Amino acid sequence: MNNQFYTARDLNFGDIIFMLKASLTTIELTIIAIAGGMLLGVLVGIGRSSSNVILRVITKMYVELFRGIPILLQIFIFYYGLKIFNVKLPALFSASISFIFNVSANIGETLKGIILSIPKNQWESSTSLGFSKFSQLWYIIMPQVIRSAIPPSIGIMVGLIKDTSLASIVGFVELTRAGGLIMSVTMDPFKIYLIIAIIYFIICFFLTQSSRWLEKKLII
Amino acid sequence: MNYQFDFSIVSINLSILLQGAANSIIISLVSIVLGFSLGLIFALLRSLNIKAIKYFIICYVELIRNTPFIVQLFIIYYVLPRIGIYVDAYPAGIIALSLNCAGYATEILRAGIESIHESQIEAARSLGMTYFQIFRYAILKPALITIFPSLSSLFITILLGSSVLSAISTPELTSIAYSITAYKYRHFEIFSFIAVFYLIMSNTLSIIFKYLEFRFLSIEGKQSILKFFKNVLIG
Repeated sequence: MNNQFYTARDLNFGDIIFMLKASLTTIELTIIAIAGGMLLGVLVGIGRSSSNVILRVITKMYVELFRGIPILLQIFIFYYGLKIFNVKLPALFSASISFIFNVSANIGETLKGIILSIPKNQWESSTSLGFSKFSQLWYIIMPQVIRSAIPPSIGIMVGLIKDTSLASIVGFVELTRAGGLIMSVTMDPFKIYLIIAIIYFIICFFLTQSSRWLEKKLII
Repeated sequence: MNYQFDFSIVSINLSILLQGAANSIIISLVSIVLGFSLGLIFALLRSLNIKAIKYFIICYVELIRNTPFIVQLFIIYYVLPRIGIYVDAYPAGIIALSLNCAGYATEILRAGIESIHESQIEAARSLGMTYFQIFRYAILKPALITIFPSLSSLFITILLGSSVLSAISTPELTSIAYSITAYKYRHFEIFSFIAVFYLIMSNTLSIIFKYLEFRFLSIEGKQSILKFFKNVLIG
């Protein structure tokens, strides 16, 4: 069947090692993006759930902006935008910037839901005990929020791992791009994309299952 | 920084971009309808509890949910010709997007079906409701209340995900924009402009869904439209 497609060589063991190495890059990218996204996302979540209307509108606009534009376009805009402003960063960081903003919007929205679901009397009783606004958040609200935020954050992380495959379009060599590179030599899309799909599946399935397990474990 | 922003490239090609936006909307609407129907069939088949069918559907859903859309797209676009099925970029994009939508929709609809308890139907029957009333008030409405938010966010994700089809150059908004950039290398201007397009499309869809939910599914449905807009703006 292959006679109509020119192939330089067959898929070999080295290619699979290359793909596994590239999947490590995918994981690195995910970890950087989720760490940055969480730091920003906590601020967004606090803003989204605050009683200050202006703060709420600003953070709402932020969330709508980064959730209403396709992640692919955000990657394009940051990729060409950084070029225009002559910002030179290592490839890993410049690839993760667009994911950081996207993840922070998602995490902020999740945190808002969780913060608002905490009963009002917790705020009231901590106020009556003389807690300041900051120590209320830090000692009373946040420990509960973090506990119930873990399973949805893992869900966001799974989405992020899948989204990092889009960085391949601007030429960042992660798992999907590595497959594309190998394909340009072996011209064997079926095996390559099957292997890639299996690698992604293993990573994501492990995370989804652990999130389900944690959800049962952390029932409050 | 000595870069001059030049948005004239956008105004020259506005009609092509609008055509691309129309294509994007058509592709995502068709995929949403196909994917939702397939998801409904899968969810109903799954609720029959026949083992072979059930495990096939579980495998399908997990496969779709745990692999990136772009890989699914490449498999459909590059692998199908190898087994003798030649598909154009346009139908291949719609097929991939529909199959993806079906996987997520199955899971959401299953949650909706499982949220209806038998006792709810029995209670409705004992109140003397007709079959149509039971279906409308005791099955459809509560199930819709459960699944509506996730369903609307799925549809928005599909609309935004249609931009990924540019990877196989289906003629939708992103890939048309990308082909325009080849003339003058004004990537930043064009992409930030079509980002506004996408923002308008996704927000319109989200406001329509929020309005439908507010009007037909919430307890506050009879309240003023003013409250709805306050809800949309400040949230």
